[in-house]
Amino acid sequence: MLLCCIVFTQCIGKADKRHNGPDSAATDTIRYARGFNYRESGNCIVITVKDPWQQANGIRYHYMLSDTFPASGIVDEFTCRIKTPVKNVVCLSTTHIGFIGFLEQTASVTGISGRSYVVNETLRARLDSNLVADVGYDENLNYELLLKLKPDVVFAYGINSSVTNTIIKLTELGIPVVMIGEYLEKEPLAKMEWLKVFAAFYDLEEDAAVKFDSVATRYEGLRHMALKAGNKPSVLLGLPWRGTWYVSGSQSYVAHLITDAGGKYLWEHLDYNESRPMALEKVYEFALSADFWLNPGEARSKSDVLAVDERFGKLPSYKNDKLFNNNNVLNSAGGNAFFESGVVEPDIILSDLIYILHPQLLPSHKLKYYRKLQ
Amino acid sequence: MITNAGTSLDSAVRMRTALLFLLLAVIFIILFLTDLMTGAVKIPASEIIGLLSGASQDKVWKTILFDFRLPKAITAVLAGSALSVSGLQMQTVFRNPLAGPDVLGVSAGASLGVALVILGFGDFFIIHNLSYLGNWTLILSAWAGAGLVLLLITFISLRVRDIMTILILGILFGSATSAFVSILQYFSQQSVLKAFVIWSMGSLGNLTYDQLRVLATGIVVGFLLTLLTIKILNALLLGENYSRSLGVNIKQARFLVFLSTSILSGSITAFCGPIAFVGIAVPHVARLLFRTANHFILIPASLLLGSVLMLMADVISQIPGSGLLLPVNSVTAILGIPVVIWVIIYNRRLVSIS
Repeated sequence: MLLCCIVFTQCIGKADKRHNGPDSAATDTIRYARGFNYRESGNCIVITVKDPWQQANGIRYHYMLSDTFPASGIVDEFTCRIKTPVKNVVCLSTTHIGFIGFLEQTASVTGISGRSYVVNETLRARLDSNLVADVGYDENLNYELLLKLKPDVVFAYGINSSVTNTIIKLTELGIPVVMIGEYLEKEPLAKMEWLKVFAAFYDLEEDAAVKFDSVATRYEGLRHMALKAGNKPSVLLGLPWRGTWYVSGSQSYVAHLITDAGGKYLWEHLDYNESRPMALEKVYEFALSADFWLNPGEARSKSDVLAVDERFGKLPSYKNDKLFNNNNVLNSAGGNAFFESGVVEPDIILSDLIYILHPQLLPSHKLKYYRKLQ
Repeated sequence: MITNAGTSLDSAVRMRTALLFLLLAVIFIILFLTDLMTGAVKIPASEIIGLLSGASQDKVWKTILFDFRLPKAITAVLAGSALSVSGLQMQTVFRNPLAGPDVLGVSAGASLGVALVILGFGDFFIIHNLSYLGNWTLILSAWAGAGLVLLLITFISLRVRDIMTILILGILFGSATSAFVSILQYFSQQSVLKAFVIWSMGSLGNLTYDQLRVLATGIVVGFLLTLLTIKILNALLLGENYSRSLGVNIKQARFLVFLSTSILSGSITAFCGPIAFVGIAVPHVARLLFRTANHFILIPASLLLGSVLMLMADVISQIPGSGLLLPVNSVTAILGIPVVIWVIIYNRRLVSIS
């Protein structure tokens, strides 16, 4: 804690070279995201990541970024000082690749987690020529490889508190870890706003703010257009596993997308943001009234859906060919761009959905992330 | 003790047995109907009767009743009866009250088959969300795993004389396959791991009529083989040497029993996932209720009792009205264990197997 204070004072003590741009006020305002705080303090940016996994309560990670630091340093497992711009990073989630790709900094990525998931072509080529390493995942991170890569920073995420073991271990090895909690954001624009966190590591804050604002403006424009559509078709989501359907609550990211696209989510009364199990017959009862069926797991065709359960053939959305999935852009191993570049293109995803639900509103749109199942 | 293999039971015992069967049959019918009436969707009982008799035609409810609840109830009956009967066979063959359908490692083999598909290949073919894997893929892989273990057991049972050695080898195979599954689990990502864990909790509600037809065929074949083993099982109760003197070819007999058990429990594990406890508990309850060791009575009794227990477990697993499902595997254990404890304490001891 003492160390922490010292670092903070250091931060403020230095001359404020950075605090002179007219755009800096814009970068200070976080409009949608709730998972992080972002403030400038002297010549240094302090990013505070709040509760980066589902059950976390009162957990804060602080990252101090400045190009005036002589070198990066770890204060403790909750606090790092990072010299910007970073040149050598490891991403443990494909969404991180999406953000970094959007900032055109893919060349800085030297390690990823799960090579088959990667869609970004530059990165795939670099993986194939062994310029980028696969560092493993979860409890099976290859720490020796990480030591060899000596990344300036590892972008990590946590599904639960077990990720703290990874953080402690990497901290002991002297590798700064940055927790990214974008997956917990409920709104598509809030997810994308984490771009500002990544941008700060590359000294690209202003650029990112401008890009974000233009996407946000487009998204809001589309949303308002869709709201004016007269009817609201109802939408069923997902696919069951072993007789149980994991149903996303109305506060989830997908449910927000559907509402924003002028649809009516079937379970709009379920007021939570995670997925919870529901009995198949209960879902089926609802599903019989759904106009559209979106995101049926990994299915690429109608017969994939029938292979899971032939009873789905009786659903009106199935019979009327209103079945769409978000896996239009896949790599050869099945990795899905929706989970990579999709995070920075919420406007395109929303256009896809509006085109599906209200084709008359965007007659010339071509689906990018979504495909119609045949 | 065997009372002259069902030929000279005195009429009082005969009466008692008949009454017990009648009672069980009535309970069975009541539970079957209760199972059809309970579910996440509320359908009034009168409506269920109407739908069954064809008097009512509500489309949504009709689909739910005939496409969801009926196949589930039938699956429960098949699973309960098949597991109980194969448990009974194993307890007799191994002369061990703790033996169950999975003692030969057949369920473990099925788990390995499924684990290889879900966990092993998941990494290569990248399956974020396993629902893409068709149901048949899982069923076939489980069957392949179970069949492999069966082959191994058959091979051993033809070479090894001592039944205890076979028992120990079966348990060892089971442990070895479980160890392999653990390794696969250790190296899997959370999402696929969860998918596998859910599979390993068992599920009755996942079968469509096409799959049910295949499962039913397997179970019927298993039961037909079981009929052939009844006499052998009764003879085995008197000891292997004695049965040999009765003209039973021990190796052939064992093979027949192992085959029918493996078909029964392997098929159920393939379609429903591993369902624990029913196979061990039900034969004991059957012996206690019917106070006999005669398999001509014990096999139909286990069949009925197993169905009843499984239907009960299914009703409870719905937690009526909640829209949620408990894993059926946990329910059979939670439901079955108090029954067996009560039976043990009430009777001071389990009826001995021979």
